[in-house]
Amino acid sequence: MDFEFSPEDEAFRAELRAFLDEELPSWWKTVFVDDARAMPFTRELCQKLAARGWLTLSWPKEHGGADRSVWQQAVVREEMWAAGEPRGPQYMNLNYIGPLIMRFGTPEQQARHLPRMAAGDVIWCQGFSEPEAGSDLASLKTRAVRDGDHYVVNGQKIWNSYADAPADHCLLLARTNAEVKKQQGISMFLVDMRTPGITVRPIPSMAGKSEFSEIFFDDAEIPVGDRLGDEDQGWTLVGEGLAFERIGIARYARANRVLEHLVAYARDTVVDGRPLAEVPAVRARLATLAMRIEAAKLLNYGAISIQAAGEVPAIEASIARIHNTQVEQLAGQIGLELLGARGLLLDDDPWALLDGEMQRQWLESIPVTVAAGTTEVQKNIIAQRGLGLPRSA
Amino acid sequence: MDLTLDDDQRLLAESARQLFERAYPTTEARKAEELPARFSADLWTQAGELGWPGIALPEHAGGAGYGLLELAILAEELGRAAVTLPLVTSYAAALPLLWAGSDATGARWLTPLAAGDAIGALAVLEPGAADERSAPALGGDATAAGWTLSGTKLAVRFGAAADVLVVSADLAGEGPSLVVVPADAAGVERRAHASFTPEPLAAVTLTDVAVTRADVVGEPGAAQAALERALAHLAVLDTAYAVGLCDAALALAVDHATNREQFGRPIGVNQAVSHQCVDMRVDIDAMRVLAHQAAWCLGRAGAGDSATATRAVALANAYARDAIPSVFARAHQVHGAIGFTMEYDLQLFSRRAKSYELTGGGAASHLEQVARSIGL
Repeated sequence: MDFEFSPEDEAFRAELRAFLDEELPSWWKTVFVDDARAMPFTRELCQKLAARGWLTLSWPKEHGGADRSVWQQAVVREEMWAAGEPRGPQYMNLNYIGPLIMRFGTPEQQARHLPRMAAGDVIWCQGFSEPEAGSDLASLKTRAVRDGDHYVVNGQKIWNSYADAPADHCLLLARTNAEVKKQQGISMFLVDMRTPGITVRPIPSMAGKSEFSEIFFDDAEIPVGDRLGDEDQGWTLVGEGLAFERIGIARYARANRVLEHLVAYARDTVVDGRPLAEVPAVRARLATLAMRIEAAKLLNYGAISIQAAGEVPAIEASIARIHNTQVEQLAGQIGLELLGARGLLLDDDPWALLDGEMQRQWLESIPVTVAAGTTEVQKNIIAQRGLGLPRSA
Repeated sequence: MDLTLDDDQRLLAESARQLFERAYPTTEARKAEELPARFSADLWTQAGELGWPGIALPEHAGGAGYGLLELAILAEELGRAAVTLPLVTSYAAALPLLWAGSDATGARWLTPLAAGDAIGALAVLEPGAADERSAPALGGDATAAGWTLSGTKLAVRFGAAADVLVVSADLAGEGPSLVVVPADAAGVERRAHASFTPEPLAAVTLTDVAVTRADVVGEPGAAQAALERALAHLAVLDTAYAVGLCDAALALAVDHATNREQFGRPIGVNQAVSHQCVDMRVDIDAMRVLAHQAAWCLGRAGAGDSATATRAVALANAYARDAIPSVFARAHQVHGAIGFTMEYDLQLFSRRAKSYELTGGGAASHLEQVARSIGL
């Protein structure tokens, strides 16, 4: 066992932090803030990261990566998420869309997509959920009907993050066979979002801009060459992709950044004649947050340790994800509690505290126990595959 | 960074688990609880033969020279099997002697403690004290030869079975100190507490017990650091033991949810039941990794002070003490009525877990340590 990052990893972290200090403009807050400058900035930043070899650093060299360790990848995730994810939507490419193409893509697909991802040039969105297929994703109804050298796609996707960024491509799940068991008739596609027949409609949400959209497919023609993996085998790919995605966002790192700001605030702020830091209830709340952040962090590191040993951390990743999503929400909750009524104020109000960070934290973290598999779905996975409990009928 | 156990550590855990499964089923834990000492002398002898009491003590003290992490791994297995032994308490009592004891006390006690031939006990908690870290009121009056100690210690773990007591005392003219007192010294009276926990606890009353300078650990009046460090080791080991208790309770709950049928199907198909089991696992995995981190950090710090270790210990203890009530509430709820019968095994674990929760400082005191460690 070893509970410390290597000196090389720590040096890399320092380098990355210095880079972000230099590059992040003063107006930058998080990727979800409604600011026309945000999305173009994330693209520029990704290109700068790519130029340093940091964007896809744990990818293999043959696909434009640097073959660096999963731990350096973890350092990147921590520093980026703590800084409001200035890579914008592109973290999805790096975490699982790229790796899925490496694993299941044809040489042509790899040559077409991976270099652009490694260059920081391309935004992907994910087309999985549908209005009637959420937790029961396998019952999705969007149809892809083969017609010669292409599929004709019809249907509706929903809750698609960054589709309005605008996204260049979509990782799409569609039904190619309605005659078999529902999991066995699904295929995965690498869809060009400029294809005629695709319409994107953003959904205004509490959680901020670009968080969710709907995508409509009306007789959209997708070339057969854009199918990833075999026809009807898409469900297997989903399982592989999501196992890594569960630890793909270092949510504890952002919660820890919030905690640092709250500790400084509690030390510097006098309320009713005494520093907040001396109020026992405040001390206990912040210590509780610190404790839960540490648990989430170590459980992520435990899952990454399994990954580093060449295995897939299935149950461990689900457990880590439950801790991570809950602690990100707890940070916003405790942050607002500490600020009281002034916590309601947006950053452009002259009386806002901490630059409005706590209201952003609270609002932006509401979806995290729902998106990419609800907490309850994670618990079902742990119950059945981790504990061996019987499956409900 | 690597949070996986190495092959030796895995082997240690497996061999302990197999030993308990083979030779110490819960029927034995029940028998032990009926003994006056409340633990099996035979099993303690066997532990001594396996070298467990000295596993984390250095070779020059008669130990095997492994780390605190190895002892923590053993402690988890003890918890999983509801084994009550003075393994971690006796180790914790040896630490102040190891770090700062006089040559005389070291020569007299360390090797027997490392071999399991003697049992040590920390006697620190007093009536009116918040916890084991509180300054002692038990007084030491100065005499020509040293001091005479008088006062009462409560909830001394394995106090009645101990051969040597490490007692915190306020020595006249010196202040809070740690003193090594043989349990058979004149003026030492021990009375087993009546308690619902299976662990044997005793009230220890000292009346004019004569001690000398050589019996004092380190400099008189300068014992707090060594005591706190020993208590930190104990707290980590107790947490690892508690992880084993919780994991055993989870295994029982899963087994019950799988096999108990109502409305014609196993109750575990209901998410209201299965998710209670998952919530236990979600907490237990966090408890374990926090305990491992604390053991790793504290083991590396050795006899030195380390802010990283202090923080890691506080985090592990605060989390476990916060989580354990809900882990066991869920275990009992999943079981329904059978869970609170004496006939069923769950009570063996839930009574021990409450003992962990209430000794060694409660959740609030560890949380306060966490608050300090983050700059509050």
